[in-house]
Amino acid sequence: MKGDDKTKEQLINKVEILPPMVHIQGKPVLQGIFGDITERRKADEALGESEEFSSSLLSYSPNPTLVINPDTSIRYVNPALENLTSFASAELIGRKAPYPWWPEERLDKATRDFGRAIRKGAEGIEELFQKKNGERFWVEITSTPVRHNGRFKYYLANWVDITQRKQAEERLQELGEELRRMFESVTDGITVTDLGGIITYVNKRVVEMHGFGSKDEVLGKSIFDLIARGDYERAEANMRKTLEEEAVTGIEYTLVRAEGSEFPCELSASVLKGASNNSVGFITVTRDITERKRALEYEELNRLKSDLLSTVSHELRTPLATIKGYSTMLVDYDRRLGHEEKRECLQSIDKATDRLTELVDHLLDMSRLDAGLLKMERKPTGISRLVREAVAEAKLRAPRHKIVLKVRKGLPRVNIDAKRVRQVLDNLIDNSIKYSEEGSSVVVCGDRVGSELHISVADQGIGISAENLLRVFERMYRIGQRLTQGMGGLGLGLSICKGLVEAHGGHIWMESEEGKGSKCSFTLPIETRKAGMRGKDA
Amino acid sequence: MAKTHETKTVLVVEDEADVRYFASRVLELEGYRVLQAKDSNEGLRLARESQVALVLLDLRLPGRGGWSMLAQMKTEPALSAIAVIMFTASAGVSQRERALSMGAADYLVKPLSAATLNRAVASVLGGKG
Repeated sequence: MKGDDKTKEQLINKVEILPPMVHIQGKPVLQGIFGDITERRKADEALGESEEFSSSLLSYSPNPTLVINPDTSIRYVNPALENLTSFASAELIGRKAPYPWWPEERLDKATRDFGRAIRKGAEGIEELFQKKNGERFWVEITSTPVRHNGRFKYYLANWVDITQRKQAEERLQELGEELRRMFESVTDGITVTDLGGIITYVNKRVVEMHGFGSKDEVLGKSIFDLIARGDYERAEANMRKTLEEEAVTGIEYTLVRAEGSEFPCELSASVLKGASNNSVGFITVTRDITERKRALEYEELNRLKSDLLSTVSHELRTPLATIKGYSTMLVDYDRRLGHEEKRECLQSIDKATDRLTELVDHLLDMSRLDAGLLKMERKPTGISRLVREAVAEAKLRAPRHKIVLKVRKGLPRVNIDAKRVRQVLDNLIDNSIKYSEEGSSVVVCGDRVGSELHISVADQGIGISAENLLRVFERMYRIGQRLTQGMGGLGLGLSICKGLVEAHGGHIWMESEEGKGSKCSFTLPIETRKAGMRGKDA
Repeated sequence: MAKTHETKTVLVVEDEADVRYFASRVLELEGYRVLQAKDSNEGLRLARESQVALVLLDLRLPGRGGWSMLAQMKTEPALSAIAVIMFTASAGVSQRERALSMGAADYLVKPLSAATLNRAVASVLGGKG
């Protein structure tokens, strides 16, 4: 026992406090240490010198640093640590764990972390500590157990004060929470996807809009699962466009609900940027516009009704003007009008009456078609004869047009309301006459294609533009045009034809080239098995 | 039916042949000189070329409509003094007010009798002396 008291105490402390130090190769270290005191002393002296050197270095470090003995007692703290914690070095030296900077409520965690760090060292462990006055601060701890001759001598810990960074992180997190709450409370749907369209976030509104049970049902799905099939191509094109232009706005889509029904929506999308400003996905904002659409449709319907009313009024008043005008003229100026002139006036009155009758018929047909009240009186009918008769009468109505009949022989009889089919045919022929020059031809064809009869009327008239072609069967479509074309009528004819043809189970379509002419065709199904349908048309 | 308006010329602008003939014939029988036009271009040409006292003008015309012809007449100094009576199958209070505010002397709605037409024309031309 040659060691001085201080050395003995230190050694005994170590042995008493830190059980890992007690055994070496299964033997109690205490014995070994006592038996080898000379070597120990030499080492301690060397350590003492180097420690002095090290602590003077550590005292200059701007980072709080401390050295802890294997028994957890504090061996050294540098001024930066004193500054940060407000504990003086003298208060700390010799103190064992738990340390005074460990907050009461975090004792467990601090103890656990400390134990692990002592054994293995630690890098970048974040801890919340407290100053002498209780004020909290965050540090990031890097620590190393220092060994000498393979023995654990002490433990060096280096703190970095990260309080400001942690506060900034907390603020960010709070901001994140606030943003999430804002996203949840907006009335538009917000969907975030990756670049491949896989949904990574939706707000509450998306779940409601699409009728899902929860967000979990949507997350991980493709954005295409929310879009109607018919809009896939547009959606793909718009995703590409969004990537190129960063954002697209005000696009109308049809979306699908969880149970499969569809609804209209207005959508805006923008590219979601990552930390290094790279594109990482899309943010899509959707708004259900069902109500808006309904309001627009209602407005459109009202506008149509009002147009119909004013047009009906105008179209009724024009022939009435002829009837009223000529009849009062005949009465008032009876003696001054010649016989021939009176006759012409009466003929005009007769024509105007026919025009009025036709208008009334059209209005009634339209109403009946709308209400599903149109009665069909179907009978097996020879279509060739029907077409021949229609052409013969059209020739009388329009003697200056060349009306040509081309009907295949031996067409079967069909079960139709002859009066209604004749009405369709007359309407098509009259349209052709109306929109083509005198002297030009109107060709009326009848043919059989498969199990259908095809009847068409072609002219060499003014034709219809491609854009208008799609809309000629819409009711009153012509009204918008009538002012410029100066053609009378309600524009109900083709709409009624369509209704009548469809009531027979056929369909009707128009082909046209502007300036070259139009061809309107319709089909009638041939129902060969029905009774009374046998026999050939003469 | 005395012939008291020999010198006055009325221009009838109307695309419907029967209605045009009716108005023209009645006014002729009343002793006016009558010119006829099927659209507003022809109407404006005749109004500029002839000494017209009154234009009977349909609203719905092919090409430039009656509104456009009325506006043109009221801005063209040589034509602005000519009385215009609108003659239309469009009944509507707002249209009538609009026509009168644009300078039309009267607004007649079809159908109308020979006597009503006659009175309206006589009233406008008589008022002008």
